[in-house]
Amino acid sequence: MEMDRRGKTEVLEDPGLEDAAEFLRTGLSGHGLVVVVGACEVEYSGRASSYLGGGERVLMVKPDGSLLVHQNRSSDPVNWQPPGSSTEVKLEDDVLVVESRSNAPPEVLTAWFTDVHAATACRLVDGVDLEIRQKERDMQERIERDPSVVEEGFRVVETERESSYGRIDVFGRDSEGRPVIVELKRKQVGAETVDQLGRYVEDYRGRGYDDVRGILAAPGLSDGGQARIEDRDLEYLELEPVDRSPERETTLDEF
Amino acid sequence: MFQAKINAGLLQSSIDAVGVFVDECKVRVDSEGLSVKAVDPANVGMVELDVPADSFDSFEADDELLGLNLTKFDDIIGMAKAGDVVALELDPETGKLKIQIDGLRYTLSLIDPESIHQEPNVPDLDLPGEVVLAGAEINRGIKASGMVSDHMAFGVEDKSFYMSAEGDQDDVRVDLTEDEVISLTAEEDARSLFSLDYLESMSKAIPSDAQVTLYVGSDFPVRMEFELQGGDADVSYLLAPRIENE
Repeated sequence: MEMDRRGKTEVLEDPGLEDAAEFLRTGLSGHGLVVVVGACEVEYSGRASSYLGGGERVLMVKPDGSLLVHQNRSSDPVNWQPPGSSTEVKLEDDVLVVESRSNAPPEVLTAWFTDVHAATACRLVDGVDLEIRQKERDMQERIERDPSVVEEGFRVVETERESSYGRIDVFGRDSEGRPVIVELKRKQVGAETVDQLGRYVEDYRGRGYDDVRGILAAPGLSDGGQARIEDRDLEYLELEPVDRSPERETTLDEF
Repeated sequence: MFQAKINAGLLQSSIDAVGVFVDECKVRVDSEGLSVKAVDPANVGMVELDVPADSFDSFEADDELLGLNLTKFDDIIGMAKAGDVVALELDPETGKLKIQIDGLRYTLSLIDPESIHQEPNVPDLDLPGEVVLAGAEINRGIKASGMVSDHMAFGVEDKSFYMSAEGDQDDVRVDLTEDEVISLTAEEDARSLFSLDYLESMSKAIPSDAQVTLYVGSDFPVRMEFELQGGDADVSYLLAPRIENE
């Protein structure tokens, strides 16, 4: 796995409830992902209503507003709230209260923590999801089926070819027989992605492929990426990702 | 401090425009006027509303943030007759909103703004197609599309704007050339697909006689901007697309 940037994670061990409340509020207001481990009761009302008596649990609030309460069994949360919910953390009579509300339909989940073992606030760098990988795979297949998408005379030698820095999406030869490394992305890319391709190319030069070319194929390239492409003597190919069923609904924060 | 008088029709259409996406919202008032920015719980549709101070019959406000239950507020304002003036006043003692409509007094409890879904960041999008047309044209395209499918496309192609929907059996398409709309600018062809659930609700808030400026890209959100009551309020909608099949 290649990570261009590293997020930030803070942990508070055995905090007092007041410190925990402050810590969680800060984490939430910074649109982070927060986790609370401790003893709590949980009440829910909305489409139905439920009460979960006291016990030790893990509660997580994600930046999209969704909230999950996990017990020490089962892959599913015992209580949860959907994305778009708003979370409030308050202190009431020596109890730390986490309240999550969503509007349509109206749902309220309240967790009362009498003891907090640990609290974590993270800002995670993670723009990738399963479907996105699928899209790059689709782009790869499209090139395999029709290598001229890359350029006239291009031939695919191998996909997912190994390098010292991770797998190369497509490795091939151009019409003159020069080796070509193609890096695929399904979204507009910037300088970091150019650098990623640059590392593959350097790696292959070091292995004796002196005249290797590097092509970045993506639906868009930022100005910074364009400058870096020129600096590093790489090439850019505008290539739209292949959309395949099922159709999916996007959300505004993807744009 | 907030104290204002406003035409009931303008207030009603403003609430309706926001109510398309949310049941609760944060209302900002300041010396400039009243504004709302809200996104629906699924983060698919966003609305921005601006009612400038001079669109009110009278308006006085310091910076205040009010948490409003729109469903309730809508019911109350629905009590007004055409031409009525609605008086609004924030009671500093109780933090409630006092509403007066022709002798009817209603005291509305406000919601803690902190508990309402935070105001969205409006994405900065570069959308290549821009078309200005009558609200009635868009509403007609949406209505017809709703008869055949649960989603429809907006697009620009060869200097014309189109709305289309493909159903299992029937298809709908509306083409409007450059000469048939108020204006059309397209740097390149573009097309995006949208859920009709959202569009049909939005359509109810788009006045037929309004000029709507619609911005469209390829697999990008659509932006629609229009005025209410001949310019007394500005509304801007942003709707995330469905990503199409090949």
